[in-house]
Amino acid sequence: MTHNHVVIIGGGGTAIATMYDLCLRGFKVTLIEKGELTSGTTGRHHGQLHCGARYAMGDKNIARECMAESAILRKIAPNAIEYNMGMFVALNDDDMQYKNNFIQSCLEADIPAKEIPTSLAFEYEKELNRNIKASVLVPDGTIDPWRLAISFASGALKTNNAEIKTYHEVIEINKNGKNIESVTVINHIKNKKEIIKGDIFINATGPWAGNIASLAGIDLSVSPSPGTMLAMKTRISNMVVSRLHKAGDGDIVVPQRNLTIIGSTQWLSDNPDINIVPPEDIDFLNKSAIDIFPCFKHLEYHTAWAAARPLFGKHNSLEGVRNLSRDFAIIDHKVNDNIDNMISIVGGKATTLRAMGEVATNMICKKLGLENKCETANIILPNYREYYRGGYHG
Amino acid sequence: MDKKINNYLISIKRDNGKFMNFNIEMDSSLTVIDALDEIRVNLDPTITYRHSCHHGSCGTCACLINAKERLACMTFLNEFKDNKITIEPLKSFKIISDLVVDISSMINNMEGSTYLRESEIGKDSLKPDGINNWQRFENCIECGSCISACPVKNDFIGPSPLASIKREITKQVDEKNIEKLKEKAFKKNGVDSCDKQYLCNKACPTQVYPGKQINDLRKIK
Repeated sequence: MTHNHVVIIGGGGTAIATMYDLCLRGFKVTLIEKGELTSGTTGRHHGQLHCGARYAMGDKNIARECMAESAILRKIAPNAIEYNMGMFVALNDDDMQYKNNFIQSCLEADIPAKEIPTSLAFEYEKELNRNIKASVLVPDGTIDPWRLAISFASGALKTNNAEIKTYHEVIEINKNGKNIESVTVINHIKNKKEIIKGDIFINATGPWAGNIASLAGIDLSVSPSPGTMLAMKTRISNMVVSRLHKAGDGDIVVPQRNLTIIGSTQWLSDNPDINIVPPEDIDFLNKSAIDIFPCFKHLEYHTAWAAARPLFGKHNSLEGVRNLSRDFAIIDHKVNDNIDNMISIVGGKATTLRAMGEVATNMICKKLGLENKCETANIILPNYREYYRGGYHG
Repeated sequence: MDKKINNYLISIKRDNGKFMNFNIEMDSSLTVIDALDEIRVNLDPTITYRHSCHHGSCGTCACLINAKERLACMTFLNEFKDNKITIEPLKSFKIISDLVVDISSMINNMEGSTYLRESEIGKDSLKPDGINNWQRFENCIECGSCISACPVKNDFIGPSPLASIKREITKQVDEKNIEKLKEKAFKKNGVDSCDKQYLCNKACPTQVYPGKQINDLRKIK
């Protein structure tokens, strides 16, 4: 056990999963979030539990990692996941061209993708476009992002090592030479400034990571890249259904509770705080969904919203940003930025939140010469309702 | 979708009990949560409210909008013809700050060995290996709207906890567990404390109809 106090800035899935891992390994952790937990990118996720098939053609390592992580999440957070598997469907000859390489790539990434006869696909999902030419089964699912994240928070609180401060906004990072000594926050609940000290600081603020890093004088390349999601009022499938072609806009339908969600689009933004849906996205997404499920056109509009992806790297063009990896990186600011006790977690996806926490905690243990092993993949998380057990966390 | 920009007068109850007014220009197809974001980011960073999913799924953003329990993320600005919107925290919960309430008093009474239920669609369809039943999340998003709307303010665990007991009874197979759940439902602060005004049914944003669930419990007594 250690007595190091880690301060995590950010309250999304990654920050919370990192807090959980650190707490299990004996660290004292204070998590600081400027709003409610998961009020940035995590909560607004369309909810796909990624088995990695979508990434298999582009990056086998990410695909393999998604497969492993989605299986772990199904095991440790069963209450936060609808596991009904997923299907990739081919609608035209180009899609068919894509198919064989796709299945092969999935298998190489340990994803058990399996082509099934289209007649069977219609048995599974009656509303599918009857003109699909092929279908491939994959182990996707749907996450409740809020309940998944607070399940991790419940796990952290159960260790008695965690302190969660919501509505605390970091406004200054206070350095002494090569060390960060504290952060200055505004406590929006009490409307006052506070100083929070720590031994180690983690910047886990997703698309805000560049802003937080700059408070420490660090130049960190992050491209907030929002996308639109459109939800309709009726659930029309149980499986997640994706287009069997190169990853692009409007290529995934995610059922969730009583809703059907189609995602997504992508644009560039300077300000991850405000993500206004471009009206043309709604027509585009509607049309894309109808290609997969013709009945989509009869569904009642529920809402459309947008969230900023936390892409790592910088690019001035949308095409460049589209090509940025969905992989995550853990950056030790000792290496290039001359700050001994701060790391940043950047990039990544909802499905890999636990892995991000593990790698970040490994890095901190290594910095301190500790060999505490990660246990987060082996312990079933407490019910998300445990988060409320001790009353409000602010 | 048509873009129509309007001026809105948003009045927010702060935790000192006073209302604070904000004039904002917003596209009318946007929601109250978008308006709150706009106010926080561009006008007053001290405004506090809960939000996460922005599509009516997490249940965090419930508040009183023009005196009715609503999810802020599912309340569209174009609904307010006079462009005036008053936002207050839910009733019956401890106020933490502005619109932020502590819903732990409700959550601690909720039952549910699992948050999943069998999906209504494709019940009789074939299923792939490894899938016994198609599943989906429960309807109740635990937003607290029903408890806020309920006229019974004392010695009552509230509509959503009772609805959760009803749901759990239908899932449990163990008679002992069912008896325990019934005991909880018929305690003094349970079913009999319900005043049968059914304001919960109207307030619920996700068609749980807690009042109906309470009635179903009455029948099994």
